[in-house]
Amino acid sequence: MTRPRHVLTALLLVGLAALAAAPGCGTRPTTATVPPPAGDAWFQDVTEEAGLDFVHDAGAASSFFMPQAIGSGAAFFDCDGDGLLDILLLQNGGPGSGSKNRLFRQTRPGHFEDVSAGSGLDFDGHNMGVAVGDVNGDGLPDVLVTQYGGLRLFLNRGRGKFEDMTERAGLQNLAWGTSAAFLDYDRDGRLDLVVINYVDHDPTWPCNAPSGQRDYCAPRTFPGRASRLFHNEGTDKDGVARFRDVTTTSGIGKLAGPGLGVLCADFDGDGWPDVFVANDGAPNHLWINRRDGTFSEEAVRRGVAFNGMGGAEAGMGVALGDVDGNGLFDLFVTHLTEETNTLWVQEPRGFFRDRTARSDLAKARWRGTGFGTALLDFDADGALDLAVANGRVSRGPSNANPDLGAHWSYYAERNQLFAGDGTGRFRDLSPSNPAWCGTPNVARGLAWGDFDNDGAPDLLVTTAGGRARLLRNVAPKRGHWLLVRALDPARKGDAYGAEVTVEAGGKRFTGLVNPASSYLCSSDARVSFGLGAAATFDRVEVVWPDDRSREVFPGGPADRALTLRKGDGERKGTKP
Amino acid sequence: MTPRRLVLRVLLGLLVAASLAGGAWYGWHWHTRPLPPSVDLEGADAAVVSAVDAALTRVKREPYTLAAWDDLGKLLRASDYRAEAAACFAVAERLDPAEPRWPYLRGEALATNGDAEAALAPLRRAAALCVGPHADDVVPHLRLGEVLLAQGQIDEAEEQLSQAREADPSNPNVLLNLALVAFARDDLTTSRTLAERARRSPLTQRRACVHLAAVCQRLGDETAAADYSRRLASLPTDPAWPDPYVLECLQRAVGQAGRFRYVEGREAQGRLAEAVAVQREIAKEAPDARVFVGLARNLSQLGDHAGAEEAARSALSLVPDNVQALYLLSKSLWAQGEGAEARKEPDAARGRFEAAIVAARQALARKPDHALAHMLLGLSLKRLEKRDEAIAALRLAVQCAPELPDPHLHLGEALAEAGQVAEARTHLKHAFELARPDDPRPRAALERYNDR
Repeated sequence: MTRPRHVLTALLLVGLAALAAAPGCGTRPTTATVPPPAGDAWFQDVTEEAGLDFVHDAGAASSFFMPQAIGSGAAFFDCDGDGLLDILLLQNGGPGSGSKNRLFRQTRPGHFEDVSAGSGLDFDGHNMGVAVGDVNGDGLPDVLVTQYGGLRLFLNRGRGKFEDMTERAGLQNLAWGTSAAFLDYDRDGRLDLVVINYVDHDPTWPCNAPSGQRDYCAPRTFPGRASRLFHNEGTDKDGVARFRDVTTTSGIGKLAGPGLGVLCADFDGDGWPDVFVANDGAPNHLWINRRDGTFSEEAVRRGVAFNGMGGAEAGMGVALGDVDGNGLFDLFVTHLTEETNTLWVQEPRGFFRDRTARSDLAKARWRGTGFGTALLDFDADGALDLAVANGRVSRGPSNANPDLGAHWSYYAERNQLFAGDGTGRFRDLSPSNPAWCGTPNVARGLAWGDFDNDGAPDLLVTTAGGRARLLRNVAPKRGHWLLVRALDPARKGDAYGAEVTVEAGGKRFTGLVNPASSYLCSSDARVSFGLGAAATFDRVEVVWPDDRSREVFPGGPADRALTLRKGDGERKGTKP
Repeated sequence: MTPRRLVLRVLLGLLVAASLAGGAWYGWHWHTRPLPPSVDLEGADAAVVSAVDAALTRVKREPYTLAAWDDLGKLLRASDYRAEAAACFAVAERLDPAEPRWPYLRGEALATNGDAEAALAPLRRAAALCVGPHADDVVPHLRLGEVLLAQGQIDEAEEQLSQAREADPSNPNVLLNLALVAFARDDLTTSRTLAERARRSPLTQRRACVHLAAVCQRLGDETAAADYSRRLASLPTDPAWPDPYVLECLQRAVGQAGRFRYVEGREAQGRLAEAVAVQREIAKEAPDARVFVGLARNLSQLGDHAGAEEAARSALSLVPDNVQALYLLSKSLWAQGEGAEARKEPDAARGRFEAAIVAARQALARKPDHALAHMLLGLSLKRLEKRDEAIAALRLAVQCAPELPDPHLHLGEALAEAGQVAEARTHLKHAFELARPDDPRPRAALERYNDR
């Protein structure tokens, strides 16, 4: 009876081997895993060594209070005028929570100290967005914070101290404010203010996903709100800026929308600043300045209200930059995971076309709900690159990481990084950038600033209910660079809205002095240029915002920070 | 060994071999059976949990039964578990490879979940299976064409959309997408012609207007561009194009959320009476503040203010601080006060206005930027001849929502009645600019006070 036993054994072995070799059915949805670092990473997480120990308080996770999901912003600005960028991070725990905003002063290069206590900016609340600008012309950057149901203006009193002047300044906004920006819309030399409002939220209204699971309300649950425009009327005898609410008379109050992102720039090429508002799940608004204190909404005609398929998407963060080197600014807006982020290329002047598919941005290695975003030349090769901070707003598959609680793990996604080639096409570098993209997070705000003044733009990202992170740009094989600050002596500060063009290596690189972009954030007011192989630049041209005067400054060696003052350059007439 | 024993041994050996082969086959079959996706049901509606659990149990028990995967896939798609639904439709396709609906539904779920690249392969398979003249055959070609277009694959998109056009030459969605194809090729004239045809359909009129505004601008026809932009303001959102396959899925919806979606659909189409009927059913079966608030809103719009009051009070009995219920209560009381005034019942009217004020103030205590609650407060105070308080409340209404015409209108009227005609005119002009063109009230008010 040995043979049958052999046969039996053989059959069993064959069966077992077959079972072992059987392929999986592949029907289970898989959770994306973090890819191993590969290639040359562009960013290094320096949060801890920089002394930035900020954890965002979004309030009680179980409440599904809609403002939690929107997150809070941050600002990179030099609060004390010592030439080093400082950082303000906002909290969203609500009034009485004790979770206060924190101001971190950069005391020596790369090292931040918490100077919140007594700064005046250390207050709690549902703090959303931040805008930075010198509203009273004293040469010190002032701070505006938007809130769920309010806003607050703080005048910089020097040495890192701020004073709440909201009421005296005549500012009021009862709605849910999100992003905000300072701009000089009437070119009178004083910074005016636009505040974007989100939805007419009802805090007593519960929302559920189609499965019945509790979740954050979608924006369509509530009607959108109109943005607000405040005109700077000048300062009173105590040096306090006074604002007048011109929302209705300017026309900006005529249309409501669930606004989240804002970007002020000259979109139609007439030399006057316009206002783009990214609306969440509704057509975007492009308020074109009519040069008489009023605005007309022209997003549809100019091609930026909807995507190329005619659909309104969930607009969140906004970035502006010339991605194809034609000298015209292009527009990038972040959207939901289920949509694509959209790149509108400007062609011809004043008109835009959805070129997302052609840019290869739709072929990303992974998708996400984009919030903060930045178009910058991180590797200084002369072509703008793109960073996108991601995190869901509706419950998705769990993406646990040690920094996230159980609640936020269902909203975490990985960030993205794309390298531009200067022709409007992008290559996904996310898998090879683990510090920025490797760990799922619920990212919201994204501010850029060259905090170590090495000419390489660094990133600061905020997350809902998690840690804020500082990422130092360590891109290898960086090209040459220039960091330009455009100052207007009459304003005693940065010339917001100035257009800066650098000529180097036979190319022209254009940038805008505009710290208010991305999402809920304020970034470095300087303009960062990557010059590629050009070790010198031929000249810099600045078109100043108030009188549109054009000045040319002489060239020189690259790889340095330049401060250009209005009046010091060679005047070359005006530009419309 | 005798021949008989030998035969017996051979037979026994064959029996053992057959049993083992059968066992191995069964083991292989069991091991490679399609497995259902894992579904995160934590916190889901009890009806959804129960239905999904039952469907999951069935596919585990009958892993090779098409109907089981069909049911689970559609149930998951209806409950918005799109990735999980796509996994089920993939199994259904393996079991029934000649049927286009499975790869189509898989592709549709992936595409609408944002995974357009993954959606392309199943959609291509579905389109390849749909070559007949039946109207439903248009659907896979149209969906595939749309996804390809969004991905920038213009040539293949045009090919698919042309096939769809052959099957249904007047399909407005096909025409509009072909207009987008032409635009991508800078053939602006063709794009305009096709989009103008699509504009005639209520299914695509809004998207067509959006596209025409951009095309006309590029063609240099600024007047037409401005005209199309203006028209958009009065056009409703285009409905999703009728997709019979997806509708099959949505019919499988269970739980409150599915019924809420049904109600939303009826409301969007202006079929309020039908929405009210379903809301009453839901309210009876499972009382919920949101249902009562929806009911109050619809009854108010239908002019049944007593019914709206009752529904709002029912909502408040469940959630006493519900802002929308308080606002709708105030609104219904104010409307009833107006009615009593018209019937010359001053005491009844006064009582209603006073009650409306209380409810509006309660809403504002919970939501200080509720523009319409400020407005109702102002209107009720005005009826009680508390003019200054009324104007203050109406100013706050305008401050909270400068984009709404009614607060401007009522503030303008209140100011005019108080003798502040210049400021009144400003607000009446704003009301006129913001109101729909067919709203006669702001113009009438302006004419009335311009004469003074």
